[in-house]
Amino acid sequence: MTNVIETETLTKSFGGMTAVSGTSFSVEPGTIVGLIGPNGSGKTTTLNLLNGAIAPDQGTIRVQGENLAGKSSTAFVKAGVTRTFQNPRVFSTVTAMENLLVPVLHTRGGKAGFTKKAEELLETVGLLGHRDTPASELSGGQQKLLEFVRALMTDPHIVLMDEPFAGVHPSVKEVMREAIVERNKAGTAFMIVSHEIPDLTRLCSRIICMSDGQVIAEGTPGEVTSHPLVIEAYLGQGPASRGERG
Amino acid sequence: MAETTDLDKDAKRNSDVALAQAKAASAGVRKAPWWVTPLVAVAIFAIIAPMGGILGLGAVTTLTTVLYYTVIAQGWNLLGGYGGYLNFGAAVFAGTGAYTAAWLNSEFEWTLWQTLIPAAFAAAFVSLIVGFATLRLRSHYFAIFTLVLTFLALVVVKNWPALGGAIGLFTDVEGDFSSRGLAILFFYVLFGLAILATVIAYFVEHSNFGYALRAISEDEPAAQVLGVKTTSVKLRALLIGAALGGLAGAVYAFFTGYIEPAGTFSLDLALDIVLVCVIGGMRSWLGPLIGSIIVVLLEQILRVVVPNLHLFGLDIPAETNRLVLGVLLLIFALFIRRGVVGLFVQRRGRVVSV
Ligand SMILES: Nc1ncnc2c1ncn2[C@@H]1O[C@H](COP(=O)(O)OP(=O)(O)OP(=O)(O)O)[C@@H](O)[C@H]1O
Ligand SMILES: [Mg+2]
Repeated sequence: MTNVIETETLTKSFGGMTAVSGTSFSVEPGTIVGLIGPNGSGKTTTLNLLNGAIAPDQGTIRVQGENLAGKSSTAFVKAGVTRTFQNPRVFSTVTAMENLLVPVLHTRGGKAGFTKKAEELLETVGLLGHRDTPASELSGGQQKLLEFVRALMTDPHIVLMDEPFAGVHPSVKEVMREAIVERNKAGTAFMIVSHEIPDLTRLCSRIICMSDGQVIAEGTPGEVTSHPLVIEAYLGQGPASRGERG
Repeated sequence: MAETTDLDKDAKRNSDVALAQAKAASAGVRKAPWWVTPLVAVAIFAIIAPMGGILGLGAVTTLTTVLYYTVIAQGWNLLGGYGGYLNFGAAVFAGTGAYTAAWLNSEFEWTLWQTLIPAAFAAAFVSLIVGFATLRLRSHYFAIFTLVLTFLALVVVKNWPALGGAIGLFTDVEGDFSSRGLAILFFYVLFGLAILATVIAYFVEHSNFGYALRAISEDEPAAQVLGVKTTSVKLRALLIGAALGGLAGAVYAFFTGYIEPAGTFSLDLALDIVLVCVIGGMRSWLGPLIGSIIVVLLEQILRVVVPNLHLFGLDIPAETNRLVLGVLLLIFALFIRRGVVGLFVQRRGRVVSV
């Protein structure tokens, strides 16, 4: 079966600084892959590349077998890649419901159908009661949940999540985790960037570790967390699970 | 163990709910039920409707200007308000409509009714060219470009012999009308167009298209990353707005009986439209309607009152009214970001910079 995402020698520099340096990896359909690495190792940049937010300098990004490198985000969303952001980027002047209706603008279907779908999604993360609340009035944790379900509106094959567990209350974390597991059972793949290694090891079947823009280890959570290079990379900046940054 | 987690979750959810409710309550004074805005709009139009027949000629003309502004401002607000692409291009599209109508009338004797659709199309066509050229720009550059565009339009039309050059074009309404009959005719044509424009704005505000526009005004890159074709959305908003401006312009050309470049492609109109939307409220389909009433009446009052003021024996120049309006614009832009409508109806979150 074709991989949902497959990259080859993906490279991106900012000025003289190479943020992602020739990385190659793949995500199989319906799996949850963790992406870890010290601060500044290129995780967010990788996600930015994987959904067309920025274009790579070099390399290929195959989504369901088709190379989309250099294409716009629209093409990636169409191919089934959606995402969340490290700092939640909900649209604060519109309601929770209206946030969910933004991504389906170019999707065929009636508003009634989309509204129903959005209500069901809000329900899964306990936000249905906030259907008509302006997103700016939601708590930080609720905004993360909202952003998550917003990424599900276009029925993606894979959701790229940047730090879904950072800075949220353990209970919200649990809601998020359950929602991810449920969705994954229905066949959606995930690539999750997180510094919360214990959360990732619970969720993921595979973990990729980056350092200085390169993949330094890849395998089961057990294999990766005990990998000497990973330990070395993390030792440089203290306990991995605490290395959070805005 | 599982039970504790569930309890925790509920506790947290409840506290989240409580937080949101508290926040909502703090804004509670401003909350009004959803039907208030439609009711206000219907009431305003219902009150205005018979005025054409009741009021004197001067007052009817003033109200006609209110309606003229409403049509253009509703159109402008789609991209300028919801989309956050504040611009000074309103006169270009209204002017294109006006010149199209005047040209068709003076050259081919087309009637007012016949020129409406061509005027809308011409304005939409111009907006397509403008949009393709500039809507990839971020909002500030776009605003500056539209400023230049207004001058450009002025220069082009001034040097276009078929359009009457600097002298302009005359229009003529077919049929025998008394001056009062004419005034009433224009009043009701613009009344109809103002309703049309307001209904369009209502539907845009409550559509996925409208949500996308507001998403663009808040965080365009995020909207893009979610799959919104932002350039195409902006272009569509500009196009609909320009078509409305074109319609209003066509009626205006007949209303005044004569148009010339400097008066048509004037920054005064462009600024007035921005003022109308800022004062009325750029986040609401009701804003441009309320704003038009306020701005036109205020300008009228200032025009009459200011020259008669002899403060400390000084003559106050007539241009003072622009100064007053400018100060008003600043006050609203700085302190009353949601406009007059925002003072009364449902708070919709933080308003980000325009
Ligand atoms: N738009 C940009 N312009 C310039 N440099 C950038 C840009 N985006 C990222 N970088 C740089 O690229 C490197 C990788 O950044 P990236 O955000 O991908 O790291 P990260 O692994 O997500 O880190 P964190 O764990 O702190 O979120 C960093 O050195 C960062 O400063
Ligand atoms: Mg990051």
